[in-house]
Order: sequence, then structure tokens, then C-alpha cells
Amino acid sequence: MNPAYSVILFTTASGAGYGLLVWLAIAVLLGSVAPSGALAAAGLVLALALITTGLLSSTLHLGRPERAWRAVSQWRTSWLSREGVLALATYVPTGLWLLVQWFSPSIWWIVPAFLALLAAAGALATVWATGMIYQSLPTIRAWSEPLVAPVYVLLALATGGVVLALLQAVFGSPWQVMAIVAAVLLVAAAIAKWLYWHRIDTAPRSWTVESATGLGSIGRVRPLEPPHSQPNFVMREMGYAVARKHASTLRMLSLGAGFVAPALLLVLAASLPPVPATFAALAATLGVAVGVITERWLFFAEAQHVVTLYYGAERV
Amino acid sequence: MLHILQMLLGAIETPGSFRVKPPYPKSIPPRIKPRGKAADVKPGTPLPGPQLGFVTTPDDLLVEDTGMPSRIDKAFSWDAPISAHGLMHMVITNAAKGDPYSIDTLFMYMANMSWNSSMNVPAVIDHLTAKDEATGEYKIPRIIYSDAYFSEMVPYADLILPDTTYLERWDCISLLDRPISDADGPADAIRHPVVQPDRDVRGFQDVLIDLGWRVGLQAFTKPDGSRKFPGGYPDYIVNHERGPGVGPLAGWRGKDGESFGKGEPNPKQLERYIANGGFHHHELAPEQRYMKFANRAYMEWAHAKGFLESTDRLVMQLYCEPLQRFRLAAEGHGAVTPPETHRHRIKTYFDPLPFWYEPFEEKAIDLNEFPMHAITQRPMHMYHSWGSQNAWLRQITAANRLFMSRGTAAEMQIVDDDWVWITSHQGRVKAQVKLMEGVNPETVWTWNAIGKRSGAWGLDKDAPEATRRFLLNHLIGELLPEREGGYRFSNSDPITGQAAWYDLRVRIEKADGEPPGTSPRFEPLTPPKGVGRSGR
Amino acid sequence: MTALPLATEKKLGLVIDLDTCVGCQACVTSCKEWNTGGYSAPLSDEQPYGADPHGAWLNRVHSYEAGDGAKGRTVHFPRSCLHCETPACVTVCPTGASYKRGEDGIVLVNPDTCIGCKLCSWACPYGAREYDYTDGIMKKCTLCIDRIYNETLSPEDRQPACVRACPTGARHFGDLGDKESAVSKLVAARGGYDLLPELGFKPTNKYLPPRPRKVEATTRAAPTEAISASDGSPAERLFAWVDKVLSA
Repeated sequence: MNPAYSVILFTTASGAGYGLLVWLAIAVLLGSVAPSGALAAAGLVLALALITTGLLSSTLHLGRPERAWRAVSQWRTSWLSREGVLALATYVPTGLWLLVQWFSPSIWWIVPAFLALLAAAGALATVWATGMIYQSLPTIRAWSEPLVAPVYVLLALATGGVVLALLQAVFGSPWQVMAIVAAVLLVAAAIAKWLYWHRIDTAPRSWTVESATGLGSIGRVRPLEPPHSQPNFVMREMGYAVARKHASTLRMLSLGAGFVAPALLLVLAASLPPVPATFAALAATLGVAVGVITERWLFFAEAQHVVTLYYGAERV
Repeated sequence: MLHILQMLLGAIETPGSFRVKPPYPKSIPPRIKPRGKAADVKPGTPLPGPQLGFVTTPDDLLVEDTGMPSRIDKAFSWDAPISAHGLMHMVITNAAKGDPYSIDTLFMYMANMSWNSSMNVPAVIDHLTAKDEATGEYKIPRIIYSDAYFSEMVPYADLILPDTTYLERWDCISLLDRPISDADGPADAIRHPVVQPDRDVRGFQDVLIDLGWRVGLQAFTKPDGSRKFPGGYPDYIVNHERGPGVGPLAGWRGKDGESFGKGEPNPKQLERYIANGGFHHHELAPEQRYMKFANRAYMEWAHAKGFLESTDRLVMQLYCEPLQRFRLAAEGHGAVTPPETHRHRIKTYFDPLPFWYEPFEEKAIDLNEFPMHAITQRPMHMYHSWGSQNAWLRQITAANRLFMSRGTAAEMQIVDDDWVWITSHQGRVKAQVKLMEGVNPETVWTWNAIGKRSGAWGLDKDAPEATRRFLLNHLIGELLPEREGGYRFSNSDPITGQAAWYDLRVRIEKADGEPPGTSPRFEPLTPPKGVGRSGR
Repeated sequence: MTALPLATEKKLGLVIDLDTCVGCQACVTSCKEWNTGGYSAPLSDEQPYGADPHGAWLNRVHSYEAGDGAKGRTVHFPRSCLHCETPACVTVCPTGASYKRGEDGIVLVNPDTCIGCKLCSWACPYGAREYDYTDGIMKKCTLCIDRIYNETLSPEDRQPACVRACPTGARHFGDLGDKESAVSKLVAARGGYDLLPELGFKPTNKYLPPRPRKVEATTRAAPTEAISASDGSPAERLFAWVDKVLSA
């Protein structure tokens, strides 16, 4: 599948934003972050910025962005529509939460707490819906894996957790717990991702060009002439393939720079004084950004679409 | 050979077999003789007959008393006596070599004769600019060329007559020349303008009619000296009569438009064609539809319409008497006999019964050196396109590969996508290979007419047609090797002059260690301002 | 509405005969010609005279080889929307621009509401949906909905443009939901099949397999076996030899 940068940016940025929102809500509910403090406000603004950047970026992928509002209508069948509905719905408690902090910081604590709870639930559901857009496509074997949506959620939580730990360090708020939680989440995400790669590498490639054409009874099938001399939309969009050797290098880069190294940095940060800890958390955040963008690029580039059988793939 | 088998089987014009589309069958052979001997050509008078026709005896040949061909393409000469279509592919070569004579002006129309309609393309391109060493003058001093596109031939022209495209012009697909008939009845068709030209052009036929009047040709001039067809080509289509009541179009003739085949010109004829979707089809009565060569109901009707000269049944010939007349001439009988140089050739190939002989090229070369056959055919979807640069069709095929038997390739360690040199006695081209099962192991093939010279046809210079294509034409000689006395026959059928495209023999070698890409490439053409993409 | 109809009154679709298709591309170009002025207009072309010409087409013809050596066949393979009974391209659509019609089963894209998210093309295993880079929306086979019900056309023209254009009669149009229709009978007689049935989208369009080659159909048991199975007497071997010669 063609790794469109608009979609990569959307899923990684909004994923981190939603993850941040979830941890912020948990921290508020647990009382480790004041519901109406500068840290909560900064966290909310950053989360909304990441989410909104991602959503705007996703509309760049559309042929007719001015019609994007129509995408919320088909939530009964379409995960993409559900994602849109949930994303918009999540703005309501998140926005109210922010407003409450801004204008009535002294309001009864249960109000922001309740809004935080709703925002966290919305965030998790939105990321789940994003994952399900991919997981629900049987035409792409690497995506119709049960680990796809969970990994999306796990990565959102891990990246959001890293960002919150960084924020806490910057604001001089206790960051150690969040740093350790984020490190654990990164390791969990790395394990899940490794399991996912193992599964797609060992999955049976049982769809064949013989079945796609129905000509297997005659014998082995192979293309003689394509329908057009130059690649068409289907080949440009679905025919993107990354070389296996190249992919395994990138997997290592993603795991090392994006998961293992940041996890170690975060553990280190937990034991450092505030200023060096901030720099360690910043380095971890940058590493995670590189790692998760690489991971997302690979998620597309390694996914082989069944339609490629008509264009030269022997089996998928 | 196919038609001889059909004749033997009685599988012509019977239900379920090969059938003939009216206005055919014509008398065999048609009683039309070609004209164009030096004595036929008189200033201020039309040629006494058509340029093309059906030669049946040596007396009909267009040769001078010396035996020299009268026509520049040597059609209807001893080189190719029954060349009913002419030998268009030889014109540039003959003109440049001054064989049979030199010409001062070469006037050509849209046939792309120095590219994919030509053999030995590099040499033919060189002919267009070749100079006489003694005088420093061009061997072909003036070239006039008409084309709707910036084709490979256009840059070599001294005078270009820009033509209109099919969408901008009137045309007539007449019963006189490859009509759209089916076996159940004759049909003809027109094209009519659906868009107005956005540039300063006129349809080629309009220009010819205008030129004809300007030089005072009778056919285009009224007795008072005014234009006979002031409305140009559509006027000509409607009002020209080649015989009483017979014109370019057969449908809706007569003042009332109710006659078919023969009738006075109908001023509303073109409107009737347009209203009917651009064509006219006459349905034969059921009893006229089969055995048309001996069907009284059909033949009487066809005679009345001018399709047939008489109602005598037409006899298909297994034993071909006209060929025997030439053979007798080669043996010294009759008033017109071939020159010594041609006697053996005429005697050998003008056999009144069909026979097989080894193609000239195969006979002349070492088959161990060139063990493979190489053939080419136009892709089906390109058949009715003017040039293959059509915006839709070029998406389907913009590049061509050399198709080769998988088994043969394996013996040569060639795999799919390898680059190979295809070498003939004439030259070599480089191509990329696509292996397949459905081809004879000793034959390679490719799609024809895809390749374009870079910069031509309004395409970008790096279009696939210029970078991932090749033509087999480069490998096919237009002349056979020299014979005793230095004479070189055209690489064409000795009887009909049909170009011997399919006699090509080649060898295939892996192009190891060379950069990928087709070869040869010619210097890119630069379209003049306002032409093609440079003009947009 | 992207919810699928529970059942459709008709199942209009195509039956494509791989035995008679010669790969002439007439259906491809007539499809483009009709539809660039029809329901899906325009079908844009990118770089039409450039180095990388490509565009939106609703019907494409591939050529494949099946089998090796003397058994190898060249098969021309037209591919367009199969108007599936349970098309995922419809249910994934976030806007409702994609829909399957209850009355005849035709799958369409509403060009006025499609946002060009391309998700339907990801959901389709058959490559039937193409993005029009200039128009910014998805294009697909409409089964020439603007011909088949078009009363301004003469009755024989009320068929998809591809079917009308096919010079070898390799394309057939009809109601595959009606067991008595000509297309259903053709599918039954010729063993028409679905593409990628294991994906479960239940394509309406059917493909007719290339017929067995005559040489294959008439291949007999090797005569030498008949000889070795005989009792070996000279008369028996003579008859066996005669049989072999006559059956060769």
C-alpha cells in the first residue's frame, strides 16, 4: 500500500494527542495532576493541537476536502465514519474541560473529572476506530490481523504517555511515575509490534493469481501484458511494495530508535534531577516520533493488497 | 493460399463460409489498366486512365521502350508487374538513388514513409537529406508534405501543408476504396466536422481541389474558368460524377434522394448521411446474398448499379492465365519481353499454379547466422487510429517488448526483462524481452508502429514511445543484395510488389553489460513554434 | 446509504467469455468513450501527451498466460466492477456516496457526495474502483446505467457500451438473479465462475473459462498400452497395429 504522508502524519500525531488526553484524564482522576492547573491546561492544548493537526492532515488525503463533513453520516457501517464521529464527539468534553479550567477553575472538582473521563473514553474509542478502519479490510492480509487495532491503541497510549512525562518534567511536576509507565508501554508496544511482524511474516500467503483469474485449472498463471503501459491508480495506490531487506532494516530502526532507546531514556529520566530529566524525556520523545513514523510507514509499505495478484504478484 | 484452399473446398460465398462484401466481387481481374507511361503524360491534359489498375499481360506494363520503369516506385514494371497497390515503400529510396530516374519534387501525404511505413529506416531518413557530391544539390531537391501532426517526416519537408484531423474535416469512405460494407449489402460512410479547427489549416482534399483549379485542371474548372467545386471537398463529394449518375457516395442519390447507386447528385445527400449516423447501408434481398459471383439476382442488380461491367458469371482461377502470359514473355514470346536481367526471375516466379519458394532474404543469407524469424503486427486497438499518439490508445500501449518463446530464451540464458540485441543482415536494434509460451520457438515478435522519434507527434521528448520502444523496420532491407550487373531488386514480392515485411531473419543476443534502454535512438526532433506541446 | 439491501429484485451483471475474448480493447475504449460523457463524466487523463500517461478507466483488459509448454494458453482477461452482492466497497464508505441499488443490484458512486478518500478502492479486491486525480472522486463501472434504461436509445443499444462494442460476442449482459435468463443459462452451461470466491463478496459478474483445446479433448489412451495389454499373438498385434494407425 502507498504510504501517504498525510495519513502517516494523521495517525501518528492524532494518536499521540489522544494518548496524551487519556493519560491526562487518568492523572487528573488519580489526583496526580491538578484538574485546573497550568499543566492540565498545557496538556489539553497540546493534545488538541496534535489531534487537530492530524485531522487536518488527513483531509489533505481527500480528493474533495470541502466535502469532508459528509464523512460523519455512515457510522452504522463504516469505521472511517465512526472515527470521524468519535473524533468530533471527543472535542466536546475536551473543549468543555478546557473552558472550565479557563473560566471557572474553582468549579466543583467532579465537573472537570467527569469531562476528563468522557474525553479519555472518546479518545480511546477514536483510536480504536482508526485501527479498525485497517483491521476491517480483508483485502489486505497484513491489516486484517487481530493485533492491528490493539497496537494502534497501545502506540497511542505509549506516545501520549511519553509526551505527558515530558510535560510533567518541563512543568516541574512529578514525572517519575509517568516516565516509568511510558517506558513499560513502549516495551509492551514493541513486543506487540514484534508479535505482529512475526504473524504477518508467517501468515500463509494463500491467495493466488490462479484464484484471482480462475485460470488455475489450465496451469500456472502469469501476466503477459498489462492493460496499460504506465502504472494506473490501482497500481500506484495499492501496488507500493518495499523490498524485504529494506523493510527489516527499517523495523530494527523503528524498534531500536523508537521503542527500546526511548524506554531506556525514560527509565534514566526517572532517576535524574528535573533539568537533565527534561532533556532525557525530550530525547525520548524525539526517538518515539522517529520510531512511530517509521512504524506507520512500514505498516503501509509492507501491506500487500490482494489486487496486486492481477498485476504480477503470484501469491498474497 | 487461404483463398486457394477456400476455392478448392467450395468455401466461398456459401452460407457459413468466406463471403464477399459488395461492391465486390468484381470481374476477375477487373478491366482497369494502369496509365502513366511517359507518352501518357501530356501537359494540360488528364492522364488517359487511373494510376493504379490490374495488369494482365506484358502489354499492360508501365515500362518505356528501353525497359525502364515509367513510375518512380517501379510499380507495373518488370520488377513487380502486378503491383496493383503500387510500391509506396520504395519511393524515397528510388528518388534518392535516381533509379529509375531523378525527380525534382517529392509530394507525399501523411503516410509517414520515412518511419514506420518504411524499411531500413536510418538509410531512408538519410536519403531525405542526401546531396549529390558533384553538384552539392539535394538528391531530392524539394519535398512537399501534408500531415495533421508533427510526424517524423514533417521536419524534412520544404513545404508543409498542415492538414485537419478526422474530427475537423469531411471525408468519404466510398464504395470505390475499402468501404464499410458487410456481406449482406454495400455500405459507405462519411466523416463530417464536429469541431472547428483552432489553427490555420485546411483539409488536404480542399487544398487539392483548390490547387487543381489554380493550375487549370479540367476536372476542377468550369468551362468559364470558375471553380467547379466552390464548396471544396463536401461540394466534390456530392457533385462529382465519375460516370453518369455515379459519384463518391452511393446512398440517397437523385434529386429526391431516393436512389441508390446511380442517380443525379442530391444537394441534401450529406445531410441525409449525417441524419443516419454518417453511413448508408443497402440491404441485399435474401436471394442476392450468396454465391454473388454467379447469382443472377445479384449480378443483374449489381450491373444496374455499376458495380459489375456485365452479368457474366465470374470465374475464379486456380490456374492463373495472366501469370502464364508473363512466363511466356520471359521465354521470348510476344512483342513485349523482359530485359535479360529480369528473365530468369519472371520465368521462375510467374508460375500459373501456386508453389512455395524460399524467401529471397533467407536464400541470400546464412541461416545459421540468423536462425530466427522476426515478425511484427499492429495492435488491434491501434488499427483505426491515425497515429498511435491518441491520448487514450497510448495509455494502453506506449512501449513495446520483444516477445520470445520461453524455451528458446532458456537455452540462451535469457530471462524476462533482459535486454537483447536483435541483429539482421541489415543492422541491429536493442529491445527488452518478454517471454511467452504462445509463440513459435524460432520466431520472435513485437507490436508495430508504437515507436516514435523523440519530439515527434506532439509527445514529450521522454515519452515511452521514444524511450521504451523499437521498430523492426530498422532491420529490414528495402533492397535485396546486388545481382550480377549490380542491379538491386526491391525486397518485395516479385509479382505484386508487396513489401516483404515478414521475410525477416534475425539472431538474438543478450545485451550484457550495457545500460538498459532501446536502441537506436535518433536525434530528437524539435517541433516548430506553435506545434504540439511547445505551442501550448 | 451504505447499508446493503437485504436482497435485490434483480442482479444485473456481465458474463465474460474468456474463450472468445481476443484482447482487442474495443470494450475498453468504448467504455471510456461512453462514460467520459455519461454518469461518471469526466474520466480524466493525466499527462495525456507526456512521459507518464495514465487516467481513469472503468474497464481494463489484461493478458495472462496459463499453463506451460504446449498446454500454455494466452488468455485475455477483461476486468471491471463485478457488482458484488455484499460489496465491502459500499459499507466502508464514510459518506454514503457508495451504494448498492435495491432494484437491480448495481453498485454506484454518487459523484456529488464522494469525498475521494479512496477507502473503497482499498476494500475492493478486484481493482474495480479508480480515483480520478483531476475530479478528486472515485469512478467505477455503472453497468452503463445511463444506457440500459435509456428510452431515447434504440432497444438494441440499451446494453452496456462494452457489451455493444465487443466484436466477438465475449461479453453478455443480463439478470443473473433470474435462473431462466440467457446469461444464467450460459453460466450454467459453461461452468461460469466467481473471481476470488474465498473473499466472500459474492460477485455478480461471472467468467466463462476457456474451452478445453480440441487436441486435449480428443486425446486418447496411448495405443501402445493396447498392444502390451494384448495376448501377444501375431494376429492380435497386427490388429493392434492397424487400430493404432487408424486411430492416429
